[in-house]
Amino acid sequence: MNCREIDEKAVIDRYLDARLDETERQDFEDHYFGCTDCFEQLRIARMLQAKPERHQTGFRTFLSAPSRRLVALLPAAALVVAFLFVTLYGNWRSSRTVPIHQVTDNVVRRSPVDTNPGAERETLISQLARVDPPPYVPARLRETDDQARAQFDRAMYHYRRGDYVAATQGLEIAARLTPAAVDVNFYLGACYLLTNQPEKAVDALHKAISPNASDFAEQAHYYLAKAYLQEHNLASARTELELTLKLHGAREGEARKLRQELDELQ
Amino acid sequence: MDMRDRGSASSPEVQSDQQKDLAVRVAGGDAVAETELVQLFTPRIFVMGMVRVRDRETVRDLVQEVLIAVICALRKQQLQDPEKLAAFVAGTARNVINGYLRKMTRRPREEALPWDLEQEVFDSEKNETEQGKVLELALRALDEDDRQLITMILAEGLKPRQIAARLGLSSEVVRTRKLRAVRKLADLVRQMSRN
Repeated sequence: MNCREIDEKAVIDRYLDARLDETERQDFEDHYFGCTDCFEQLRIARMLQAKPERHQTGFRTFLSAPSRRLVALLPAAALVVAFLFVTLYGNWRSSRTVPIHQVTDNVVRRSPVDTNPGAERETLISQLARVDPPPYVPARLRETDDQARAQFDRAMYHYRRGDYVAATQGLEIAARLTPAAVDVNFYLGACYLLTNQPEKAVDALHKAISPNASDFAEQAHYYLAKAYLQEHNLASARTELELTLKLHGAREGEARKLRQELDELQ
Repeated sequence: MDMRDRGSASSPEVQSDQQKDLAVRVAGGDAVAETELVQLFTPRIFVMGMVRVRDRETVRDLVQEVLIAVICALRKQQLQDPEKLAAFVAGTARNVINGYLRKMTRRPREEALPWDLEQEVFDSEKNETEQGKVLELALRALDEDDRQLITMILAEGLKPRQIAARLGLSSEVVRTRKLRAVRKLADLVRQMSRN
């Protein structure tokens, strides 16, 4: 396949619409991996096709084709139907459904299969030790030249994608560059928890507790409780929950509930 | 040798001697060559992944998997014909992507790219997103004729001979003008992305 054939057979358009057969597709891929012009065209075509509503000429042409006008209405119609379905179905279910955490709690607590009390207790502790990743919203709007901050940003890029192994590696480097940074240590601790390394999580989360950053401190105590639960150290977990409650922050409700469940367990 | 894409380069092909040079340097453990390889092929692998898989998150992982496989193979000197590096990368990308599609599962990566190379992938993706945003501005900055031509070919999928018939030109003239317009647009996108 050469550049001329690609033009004459409208290969780029057909490639993006998945209308090439496998042989043609492979030929074109082999070509554009080595051809700058064809790759530029492919890239621009892809961007243009991804944003038809932004491109006036294309959009006008699109709407002017009678056979396509009906197609243009289909997504809107589908949205209306979906909206009606969700609303009606949601109203119908709202009086019947049980919150998901109650369902899972019941399944764990009253599992008829598990009749061994010791094993049941272990299961319950594991259930209580489960963590959700703490949310992260980038605080800085501008690019930074600071090496440690740039490292932190890169690591949090992986964190937001849910790649906690890669995030851990990046945050470890950031922590070496700025050992006292509260946010670095906090998210590093969270990553250790999410990758089942509670011992390391405890170390990192302790470093995230600073009187100057009370929001992180409250969260750090809460996640420390989770780390101790992963280690089945219930006494320390309870202490951390008490410390969380004292700070009256965003985790207060969850901490209170967790403490209550821990009390029931003990 | 800098092999990054240059829209205004005199030759559009990544020449076989350039490919050979890059492959040989990577095989010899040249870190700069590895960076060049990542810069050159990340956007291509990304587009191939998006066309075949259509899930950005998955494609991000697959891009890294492909690059790891390519760099490892080059380091072990497993590429028989270094002049065909581009085809080798395309083939590896296809194998990795098809392997994923067969399993349809996202498995955690067992290996990670070194941090500096991962940064190149990160920058390349960021550029891709930003370039989408500046494309509209770049299109506005083009001549009306160029804009119309690009739209007809790349956004509406018309063939050069259909456009030729519409505009009363020969297919060859349409092809030449389109190529010039695409290069101009690509240069504009690059310039605007830098500012």
